[in-house]
Amino acid sequence: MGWRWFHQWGSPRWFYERAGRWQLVCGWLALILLVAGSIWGLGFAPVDYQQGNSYRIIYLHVPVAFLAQAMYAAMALCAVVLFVWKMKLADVAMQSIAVMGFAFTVLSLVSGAVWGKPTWGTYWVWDARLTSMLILAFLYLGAIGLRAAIQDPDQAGKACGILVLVGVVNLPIIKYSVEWWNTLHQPASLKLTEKPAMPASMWVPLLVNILGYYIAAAYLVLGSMRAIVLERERRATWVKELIGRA
Amino acid sequence: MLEFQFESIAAFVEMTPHGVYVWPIYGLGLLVIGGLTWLNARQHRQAIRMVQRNLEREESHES
Repeated sequence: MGWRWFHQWGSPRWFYERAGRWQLVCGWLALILLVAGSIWGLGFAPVDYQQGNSYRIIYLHVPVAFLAQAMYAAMALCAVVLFVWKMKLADVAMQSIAVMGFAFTVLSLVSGAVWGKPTWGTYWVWDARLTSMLILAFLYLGAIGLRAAIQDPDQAGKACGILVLVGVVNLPIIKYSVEWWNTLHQPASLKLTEKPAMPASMWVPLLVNILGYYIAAAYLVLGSMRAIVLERERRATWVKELIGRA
Repeated sequence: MLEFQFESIAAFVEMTPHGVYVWPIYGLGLLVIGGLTWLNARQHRQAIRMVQRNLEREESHES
């Protein structure tokens, strides 16, 4: 056994063949969880006594905001794997996560802004949480742009890896921004170490949606990675055999 | 037991007065996930076509 489970990830063929099945499972699971969690949160969770029904944006905003940060951390982990073990698949994952992460960060910013209007009276303030999330969007955009600007895929992967690792410093700033600075943005809605301030009838559907969005992200990243693997390995014998047979 | 929090479907849609903020965001979420799924499928189809073209070219060179 040993490190075999890890070394398998060095084979694009091994990944491509299995990822199709994983993607299918993730896709259906995400669909079930997101439909259930969203209907529960939108129609069956109680109204917030201060914010009214506008708080129902939480069932999308919080999961995608968590995801935006988690995906960046995953991208940084892939950069470490790329530099230490020179694993091609880690670079493929970085390329996929950059696009998905950017989309979820923008969704988090837009949903937060729309929630801010009825709650704070404004779409945007330059407070620490909002600004650090905007920087996160630019970091994702930087990783996408840098890869597009460099022709050699190996060089592009390394350059993106360095940028991503430098940008990791922004993650603790996002997390602690609501504690270090006086922000208009409220403190964290859910913490691993504390009992939630809201009742279970509100946070359980939130948890369902958080799980749903994470699995949806896995579904999307796996799909994108499969396509990129096929593109990059187009001259490999296994790809020719696979497509030739189909 | 779960209880529907609105008196009618119309009240659910309206979410007085916040439906105008809530629903477009969920629509956008659906659009983002649907759009990314579509982009992935398109990229995958294009990659398969690229490999098929390469194979055809190789075959024509051989014959």
